[in-house]
Amino acid sequence: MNDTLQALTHQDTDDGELIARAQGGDPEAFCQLGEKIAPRLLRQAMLLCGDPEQAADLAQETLIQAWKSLPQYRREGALFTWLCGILIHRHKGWLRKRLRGPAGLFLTSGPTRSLAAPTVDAVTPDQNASKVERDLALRRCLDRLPEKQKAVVYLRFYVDESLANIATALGCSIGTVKSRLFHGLVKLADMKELQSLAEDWRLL
Amino acid sequence: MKPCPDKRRSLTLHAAGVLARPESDELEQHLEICARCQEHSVALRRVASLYTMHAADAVESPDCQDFQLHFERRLLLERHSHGWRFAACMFAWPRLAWLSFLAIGAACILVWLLPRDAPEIERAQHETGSGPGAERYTASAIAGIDRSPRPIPTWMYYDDASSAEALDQLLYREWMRKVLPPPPLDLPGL
Repeated sequence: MNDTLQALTHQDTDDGELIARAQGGDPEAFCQLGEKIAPRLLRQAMLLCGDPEQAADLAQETLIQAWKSLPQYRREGALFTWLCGILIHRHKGWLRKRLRGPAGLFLTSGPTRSLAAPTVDAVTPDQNASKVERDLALRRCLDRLPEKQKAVVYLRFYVDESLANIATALGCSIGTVKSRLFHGLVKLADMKELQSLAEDWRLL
Repeated sequence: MKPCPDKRRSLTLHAAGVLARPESDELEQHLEICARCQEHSVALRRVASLYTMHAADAVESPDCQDFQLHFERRLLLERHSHGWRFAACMFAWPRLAWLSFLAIGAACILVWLLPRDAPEIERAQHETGSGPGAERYTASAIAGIDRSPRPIPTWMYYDDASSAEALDQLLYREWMRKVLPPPPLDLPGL
């Protein structure tokens, strides 16, 4: 774990020059950055959407938004965490758009094609189906949180970021991050759906 | 069962794995003796584990090469069609705010430094009308210093006074002229 973190930090240091060039308006430098970050970003988008096409769209929107807002990036935290902050924000907008659509009432933030696209570690169809259901429920519960709490919970559990990095990425204090994490996690723990899910998966 | 009120926050942070070492040790000691907090801690840790497990899942990611091609194309389009946006971003808040503050500050200093018009020393003159009978009066004449009994419109005082002090004097004299009986006219030719 520590090695991975060190590698990521080292990678971020190497990316410093590219970031500086991109901030100066060099699109090629930003494309190179995008190429490096894309697999991780796509994975995060996939975890949030559950659908490969939508995940690709979301990741692209995130990168385009990042390009537009790049002058505002202060290089205090990791670029990837900053991008994840944008990703979660764009995801909220994407959810709103979906809910406003004609079939919005029947939609949750679940995948539209995931049932047909089994994940790599799926062993049997039953296991795969229950895993897909679990993923759906987890996303649904996360989407019920207020945006700010959701962003903190997401960055903590999905991106595995420290409180300090989350605070830098979201532009708030560590105390605020702690408070949002506390309220978010308490709300999640109170959700019946998650309680039964934890029972089903015999966690702890 | 509800946990101890003073431990709720640390229990949540502990479940999220962000509680600092000394506090974490202290909490674990408390958990050994408090069943209510233990139950709450288990519930929180279950939720945290669900999300950690979900995050660690292997997911079928979209094709990265295809993604990169699309992204580069979109970036080019974005750059050509909305080039001005990039420039606007450069001056977005808080940069714009700082620039505005600087501009306002500079304007204030400029206004303060600009030389103000000195008060006119010479009094303005007014004509009573046009034609052969027209006469010119200075402010002092209008104010009745030279005992002129003519009624004076108020705007003339403002117009003729070269400073606030002079205006006061003019108005005071006009008031005196109204209060005191008019002095005998001593006009030449009468």
